[in-house]
This record gives sequence, structure tokens and C-alpha cells, in this order.
Amino acid sequence: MRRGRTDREETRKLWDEDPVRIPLQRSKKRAVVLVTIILFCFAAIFFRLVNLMVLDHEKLSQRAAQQYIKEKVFTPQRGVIWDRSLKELATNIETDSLFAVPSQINDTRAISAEIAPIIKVSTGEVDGILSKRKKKSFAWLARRMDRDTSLKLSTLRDRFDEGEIGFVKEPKRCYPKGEIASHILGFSNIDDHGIAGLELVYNEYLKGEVKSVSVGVDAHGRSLGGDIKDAMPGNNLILTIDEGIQYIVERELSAAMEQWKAKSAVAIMMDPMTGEILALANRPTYDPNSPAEAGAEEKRNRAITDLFEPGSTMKSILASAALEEKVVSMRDIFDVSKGSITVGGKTIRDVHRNGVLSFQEVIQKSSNVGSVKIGQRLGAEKYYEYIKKFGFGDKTGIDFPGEVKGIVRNVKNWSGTSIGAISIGQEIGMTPLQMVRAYSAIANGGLLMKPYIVSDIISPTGEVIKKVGPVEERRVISKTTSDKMKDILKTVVEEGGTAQKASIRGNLVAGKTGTAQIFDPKIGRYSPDKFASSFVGFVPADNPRVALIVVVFEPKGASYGGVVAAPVFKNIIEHTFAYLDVPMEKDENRVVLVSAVQ
Amino acid sequence: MNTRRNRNNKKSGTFIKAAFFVYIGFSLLAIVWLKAAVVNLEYELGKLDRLRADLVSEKEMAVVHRANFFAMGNVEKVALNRLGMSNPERDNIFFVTRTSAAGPRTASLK
Repeated sequence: MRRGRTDREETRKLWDEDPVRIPLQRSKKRAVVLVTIILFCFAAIFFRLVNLMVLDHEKLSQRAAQQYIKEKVFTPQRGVIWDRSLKELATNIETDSLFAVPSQINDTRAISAEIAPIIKVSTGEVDGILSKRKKKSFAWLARRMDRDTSLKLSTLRDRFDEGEIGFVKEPKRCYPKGEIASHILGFSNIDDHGIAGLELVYNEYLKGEVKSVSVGVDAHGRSLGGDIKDAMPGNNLILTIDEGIQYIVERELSAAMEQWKAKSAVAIMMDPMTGEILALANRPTYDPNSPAEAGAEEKRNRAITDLFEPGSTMKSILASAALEEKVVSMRDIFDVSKGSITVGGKTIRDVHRNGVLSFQEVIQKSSNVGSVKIGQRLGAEKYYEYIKKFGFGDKTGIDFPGEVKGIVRNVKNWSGTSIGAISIGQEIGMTPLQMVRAYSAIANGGLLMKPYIVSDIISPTGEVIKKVGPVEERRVISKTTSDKMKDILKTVVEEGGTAQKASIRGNLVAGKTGTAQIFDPKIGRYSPDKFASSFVGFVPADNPRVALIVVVFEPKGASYGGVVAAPVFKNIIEHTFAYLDVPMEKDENRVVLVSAVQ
Repeated sequence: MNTRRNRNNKKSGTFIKAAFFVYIGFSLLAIVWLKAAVVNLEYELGKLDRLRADLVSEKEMAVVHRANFFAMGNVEKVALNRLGMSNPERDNIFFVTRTSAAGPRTASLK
């Protein structure tokens, strides 16, 4: 009070002395106060900023990122599989997968009742998933749905609260040709891992890289653009298979299955010069788009996993070895008039009575007795050596899973009957692929080629990662022996041979029939009514373009390879040659002469 | 003299203050506007990206449909059943061979 009075007195005194000075002093004081307040505010802001940006930086930036950055996983597409003409055999389509956020769902039963009929599962199943994961924030309800299902579900979506269910885009493997080449391609599972065929063997190349990308999202969780990039797709495969030939082979095989009510059938076509597999088909078969609907029998790739006793087709291997070792000549004759021969206490008989046969006729007429005599001349050691040289008893090394090596007993373990039995194609087990490879060696001048089915691996950007070419494994027989064998095998499809039904108009066929009884483990001996009927050969005989084996297991109504398998061979070759425009020999082609334009 | 200077100082001070606040205001507006524009662009980009994904998906479906239509089995079915065609026989294949050019012969018939 007192001080206030003194101040007022001082002010009055100053006013009297200098009236301008008072307002200046007052505004100075105010300025000081104002500056102090501002500085204080700035200091507060500064300290807060230091606190936010330096001290709590880590924690706060993490919290912020959780709110506006979402980790998005991009599922890569598997690589495309093409045939040799770049026709798609396996590709991908985008599909919707349905997920739920169980922790956000209040009434699981209501949602289950709405969704279950559309995704074709029971209400209880959906309810079970949602109830079991009540506290979880993610549960798959349906993966890789078809378009109709996904459309039906998207109309339902509005009925549910936001965040209860959602869709994710996922690529789905698709095989546009259906059953064609199903045993070659195999299939992949729901998680896009190859589990059969080439899908399995080349899974590492095909699968691509999963990509996880941080994407900015708005308050509704919608992703903003900018960082979104597709995951790196897998590499692509180019096969040696030709879709057209594959179709012809499969069509004819199906027809044979129907005609002969057979248990199963296999056909493999190979380029004998290179070892390229042009077609490979099995019956029964399945659709790789829905592998779950097929059983193990349908999915089995018998061409490389099933062994069969070759029967008479083995006689060509025996004859090649005998010629190469010069234990027989084309002029040699064999007396088979007795119709049977006993080896090691076991009697082997001819199907038809023959008199005296030349070496060539033994093969042409498929004489068991003559073959056993050739085998005896060659000897077990040498025969075994050639069996191994032709690749029997070892895997071919083809890029397929589950290949078996066959059964070839070491010569030391051969019994007294073995030389007789193996000479006519018994006591030995092989795959159809091994047999067609051996005949390819006869066809191409004596070289055993490694069979292969993938010719190129191409990156998504089009670069060639791996190129596979023909691989010569070894020389099995000389060119001279090969030429002699071609001449012999040509006679098999001529008059007097066992496979006249395999001859085609316009081109010479070289091949051999096989009719092997199937060993029945139930009765402990060869079944009297179960056979594996086969024909293996190559065309055109002198300059082969293709080698083909057809094996029909357990046909009904007929058993001979010349009756069951040879016509299938003929049909396949005729249609394939028409498809490939292979000219006929002997000037039978229709030629149109066109004058060159000047 | 002093009064005039003070008045001038006061005027310029007020002007600077006003300019400063206007500058701050505009800066804030610019930052907010830029930020909004960027977010808008991100939405546009996101939309375009979704459109691209849809188009890629459509393309994939088209590839699958094309591959399916051109599958040998389907082609054969249509050719045989609808178009009345038959499977090619080897007799029906014509090989075209080019001969020497047609034209006026010389007197020597060369």
C-alpha cells in the first residue's frame, strides 16, 4: 500500500520532469515480460520436442509405424510351364481367399450360417474354426476360391461389420489343358509347393520369392499406393513335350484302354537322336486341377515307377549283343523244330511251331527257343554286360521324381535257368522308359542317350538360366550292328512277322512285340491270364524321327503285343506323322510343284 | 525528430510482425496442402495399382481361356462335331516343291 503510493508519487514527479519517458519505460517492461513468456513457451516446446524426437523417438516411431504402416506379404506366382512350342501347360490365375478376424466377431454362429453354404463346408466346421481361434486376429476360411464363390461372398460382405471378414488375392495354379500331360506336370498343393511331377522336381526354380513390403495405410486400413510391387515370380520351364503329340498319344491310349478293358497302359515317345521326351502318357489318369479327387492309382507315373517283365522285346537287346560280340552272324541258322528247350531244368516253349530259322527269323517270329540258343552262345557274363550297357538296372536320370532302377540281378546270382529266362525277357524288371531308351540306342547308331524333358529354364525377365541339351551316355553297339538290327526289326512288321498291325503306309517301321505273363504274388507264379502286351519301335526305320513304346497291362480278350499294342503304335505314329508333316517314303507323297517367282 | 523515428520504427516493426505471421500462416497452409496433395496422389496411385492388378488378373484369365480353347482336344471336338472336318490323313497332305521359274524360253531352250 505504502509502496504503491511511493510509486505513484515517483511517476507524478517524472511526469512533471519528462512526459514522454513514462510510456517508453512502461512498454519496455511489457516487452521484457512478453519476451520472457515467449522464450519460456519456446523453451517448453523445445524440451517437448527433444523429449519426443530424441528421448522417446524409438518408442514413438514404432507406435506410429504400427498405425500407418502395414506389412503386406505378396505371394509370388509360380513359373509358367510351356511345351516345346510355347503353349501353356501350367500357368496361374488370381483368386480370392477368404479370411476372418475371430477376435472381432461377436456372433460366430450367424457368420458361419451365412458363409458355410457358399464355401461348401458345414456350418459346424466354420463355427469350429472361429470359436477355436476366438482370441486370434486371423483365420483362413476358404483359400483360392473360384470366381462364382468369390462373387457370392463379396455381395455378403456388406452384411458383416467392418473387419470381421476379408479377402486376400492369391495366385492359384491352373492347368488349362486339363488331363493332358498330367503325369509329367504333376501338381502343387494349396500353399503352392510342388508335390508331384515336374512341379516337385523343379519346385525351387518355379516357386519364386515371397516379398514382404511395408505399405502406408489410411485410417480405414486401405493401403495407399507407392511402395506396392509384385513379388518376384518363379522361373519358367520349356519342355521337350509337344502338346499335339501328347494329345495324340493320350487319345490313342484311352481308346486302347477302352477297347481292351485293360488295367493300365503306358506310352512314351522319344526322339532317338537326342533323348528328348516328346510325349509320355499313363492310363488311368487324373486332372491336376483337382488332384484330391484322384486316387494313388490314377496319379502314378507308371512310365518310370512301375517295373514290368519285358518279354520278347528283350530279344532285340540279346540279338544286338550277340551281333556286336560276333557270336552270331546274319547267315546263322537255328533249328527250333522241336518247339521247346530245357535250360537248368526249366522247359521253355515256342508259341508257334517253327522249323529251321535264320538268325533274323528268330527275332522276326519271336522264337523263344531260338533266343535261348542265341543267349547260350553269348553266355551269361557277356549278356549281363550288355544288359547293363543298355542301361537296365540303373536309373535313366530323367528329371522326374520316383524313378526306379529296375531289377537286374548280378550275373553271379543267376541261377541255371536265368540265361534262358532272361533271353526271353523274364527274371528281369524294367521301366517302359528304360526300354524305349535302349531301342533309341539301336535306332540312332548305337549311342545310349540320357532322356530329358525340360529343355530350358527361363527367368521372369526372359534370360536363359539353364539350357539342357542331348547327353550321350556311352556307345552301346557299333553303327554296323545298329544297321543290322534295323534290318532285322523291319522284318518284324512285315509279312511273317509278329507285328504286321504296326506297319504304316509310307514309312518303314522297325520294332518288336512283347507279351509277358505277369507274376501273381497271390499264387506265387506267373498268372495264366494276366499279361503285359507291348510294342516298341522307331520310325522311319532307316532315319528315325521317333521311338515309341506302348505297354498295355492286363488287357481282356487278347494278350499278344502284336494284337493289343501294335495297332496303338500304328495309330499314334500315323497321326503324329500327319501332325508333324513327316513325308512318306517311296514317292508316295502328293507333291505340288510351284514355279518360283522371278 | 525522435518522435518521427519512433513512429517509423513502430510502423516497420508492425509490418515485420505482420509479415512474419502471414509467412508462418502461409507456410503452415502450404505444408498442410502439400501433405494433403501427397496423400491424394497416394490414393490415386493405390487406385491405379488396384486397377493394374485387376487388369493383370484379367489377362491371366484370358491366357488360361485361350490355352483352354486351343487345347488339342477342344479343337478336335469342334472340328469334328461342329465343322464336319476329319482328322488329317497322310494322303491329304500336299508337299509344295518349288521348281525353276516359269517364263519365256530362250531360243536355245536352255
